[in-house]
Amino acid sequence: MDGAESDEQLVRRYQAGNAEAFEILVERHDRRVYNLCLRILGDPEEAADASQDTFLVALRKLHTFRGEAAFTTWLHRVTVNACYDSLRRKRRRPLLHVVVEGQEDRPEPAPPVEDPAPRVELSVDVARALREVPEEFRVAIVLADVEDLPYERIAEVLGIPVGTVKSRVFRGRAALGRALGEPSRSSRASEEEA
Amino acid sequence: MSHPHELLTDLLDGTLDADARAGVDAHLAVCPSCREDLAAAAVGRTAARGLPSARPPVDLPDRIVVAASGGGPSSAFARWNRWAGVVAVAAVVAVIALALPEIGGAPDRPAQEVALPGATESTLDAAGAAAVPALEESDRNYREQDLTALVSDVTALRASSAPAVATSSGEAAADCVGRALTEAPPGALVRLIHARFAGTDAYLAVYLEGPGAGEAPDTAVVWVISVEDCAILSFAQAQL
Repeated sequence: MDGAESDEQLVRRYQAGNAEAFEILVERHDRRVYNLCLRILGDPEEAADASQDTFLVALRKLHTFRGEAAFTTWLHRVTVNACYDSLRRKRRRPLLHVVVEGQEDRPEPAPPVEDPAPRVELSVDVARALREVPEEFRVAIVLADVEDLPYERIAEVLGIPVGTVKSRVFRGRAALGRALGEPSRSSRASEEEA
Repeated sequence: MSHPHELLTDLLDGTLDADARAGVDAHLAVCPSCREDLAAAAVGRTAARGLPSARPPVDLPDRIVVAASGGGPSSAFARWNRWAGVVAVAAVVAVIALALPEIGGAPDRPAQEVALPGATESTLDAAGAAAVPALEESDRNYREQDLTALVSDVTALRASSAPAVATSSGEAAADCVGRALTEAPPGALVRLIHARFAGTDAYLAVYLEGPGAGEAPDTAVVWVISVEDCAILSFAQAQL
C-alpha cells in the first residue's frame, strides 16, 4: 500500500513534478469516483467514461488545487461536474425513457460486483429506480446516502446552502421511494412463495 | 402552506431535537402530502443506504493513467515524439485528401472506413524539422457547444489542403499550446486554429488520439488555450 501519505501530500508531490503521485491518487480514489458516477448515471460504461473524464480534468486542474477544501471534496466536485456533462450530452432522450431504452439498446452489462449482504430491496431494482429520480435530487441522495457525506460537505461540493441540500435530499428520497412502489414489495413476494 | 422538507430530512436521520420535533409533528398532523412523502422518503433512504459499493472495471486505473500520461512532462523525447507524430499524420491526412475527395460530401460516413495508420516512429521521416499543421486564422467566436462539433466532424479533421509548412506564427501557437499542456497529449496534432473562445483570444488545438501500440486513432480531442497567458480554457473530446 502507499503508506501514510495524505492526499494533500500527494498533490504537493505531483505539483513538484512527481508524476507517480498522480497514479497513486488514481488508485486510491478510482473506486469512490466510479461508484459515484455509477449511481448518478446508472450505466457502467458511462460511469467508466465519466470516471476517466474526472481524473483527466483533475489532472489538468491539479496545479490550481491550493488545499482550501479537502482533496476529496474537490474531487467530488469534479466528479459531479463530469456526471452533469455526461447527463447533458445524453439529454436528447427524455429522462423517463432511459430505464426502458436501456434494456433494449444494449446487451445486459455485467452487474457491478456487489457485497453479498442481504437487502430488503433488490439492489438492481434500487439502481434502476434511482435513474427515475430527477437529476438534481438524485445527485443529492447519492452524495448523502450512497457516499455518506455530511450535509456540510455536500453543500461545499455543490456550492449551495445546507438547507437546500437537505431539501433536495428529502425530495430525492421521496422520489426514490415512490419509484420503488409499495414498501416491502420484495418481502411480500417472498411471503407469497413460502 | 410551506412544507418543512429540511426538518423532515433531519427527522429521518434522527437528528431532530425535541422542540423542532414538536413543530414537525404538528405539521404532519395536518398535511397528508408530507405524510406520504415522508413514508416514501423512509423507503428511499433505506434503499439508497443499502446500495452496495460497486467495483469499477479492473483496468480502469490503467486506462486513466495511460490516457493521462503522454510520455512525461517537457522531456526532449516527449517533445520530439509529439511533433514527429504530427509529420506522420499530416502525411497520412494528405493521402486521404487526395484519395477520397468525396468525403466532404458524405459527412455521416463512418470514420472507421477511413484508414488512419497509427503514428508510430517507424513511419516517421528522419527530418527533425517540427512541421505543425498550418495555423488557421479564424474570426469565429467558439462556444462550449461548438467544441463538440469540432471534434465530432470527421471531415473537418483533414488538414487544410495546403501541405503542412512550418511558419513562425504556427510555431508560436504550437509552443503556447505545448506550454499549457505540460504533459504531451498521447496523440498527434492535426489542426491548429487561432480564433476566439467565449470572447477570449484563443488557440484551438485538435489532436487525434489512439489506444497506442500502433493502433489507429479512435478519439479526437480539442484543447482551448488562451493566447495571452497560455492557460487551458476548455476541452472536449469525441470518439471517432
